[in-house]
Amino acid sequence: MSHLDKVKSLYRSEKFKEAISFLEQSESECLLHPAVLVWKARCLQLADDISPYQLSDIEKLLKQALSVDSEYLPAIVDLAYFYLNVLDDSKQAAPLFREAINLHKEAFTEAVIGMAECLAEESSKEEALKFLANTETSALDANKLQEVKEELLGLP
Amino acid sequence: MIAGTAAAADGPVPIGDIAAIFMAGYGIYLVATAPAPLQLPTIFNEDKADDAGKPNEGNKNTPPPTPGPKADEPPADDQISGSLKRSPSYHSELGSKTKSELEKLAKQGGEVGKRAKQMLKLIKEGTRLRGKGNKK
Repeated sequence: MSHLDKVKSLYRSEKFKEAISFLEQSESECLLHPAVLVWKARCLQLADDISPYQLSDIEKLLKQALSVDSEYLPAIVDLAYFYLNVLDDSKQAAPLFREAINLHKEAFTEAVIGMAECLAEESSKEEALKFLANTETSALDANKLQEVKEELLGLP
Repeated sequence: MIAGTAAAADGPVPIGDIAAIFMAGYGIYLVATAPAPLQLPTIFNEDKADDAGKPNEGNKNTPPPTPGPKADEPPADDQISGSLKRSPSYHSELGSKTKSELEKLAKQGGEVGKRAKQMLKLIKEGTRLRGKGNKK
């Protein structure tokens, strides 16, 4: 089990304090992959007691993850949500969400094109075209988007 | 440290400026003591930050009464973690309201509506983050 697998397992069990302790141990071993920092920031947000940490340490951790890899998508998205939902600051959040969408679009488009090319080689061009057509409509979680649409429509 | 990082002196910095090279699935990362290139805006200021280690007490004014909660619906305080209660968006006077009560208050607008909306955002963030643990 990798360090991150153990962190995720503790997180799933809602043992956030234990996860933070384990992450501190990882830090002492210099395992500073941006994912480690992101998971620690998540644990800090969900733990009931985060002493000696402060709320501002959450922002620091996410920025630190971005200093290691400025295109690390989970850190960008989590920092954006931290601004939006925890600090109620959509002005700070919006550029980060825009950046995440652009980065994701680029990576996702590449992956979709690669998959279509695989299908064309391994199966048929019809299969590849079908895959491309389906991807355009099913790339996002339709249920979640519908929830947001209904929420927006319910606003005064 | 990153330029612009908030509240740099407000507590222990858990992860120092340690020089370390390590392998990742998609490359090699270098964590150096040199200033990081990323410049993100600072968020905490005197108006917003309530970072003294205590939950944000918010406004103590009693919120207007709202229709009764749905059966078995937990109060906001049960859905917002201890750490998120330190957020300037947390308002203790609304902690006993359920999500549906907060939604109604939010629709009413005004100062209480704004606070209710902020509380709903904290609930939403907790739910979003908990969902991360369910993914493989």
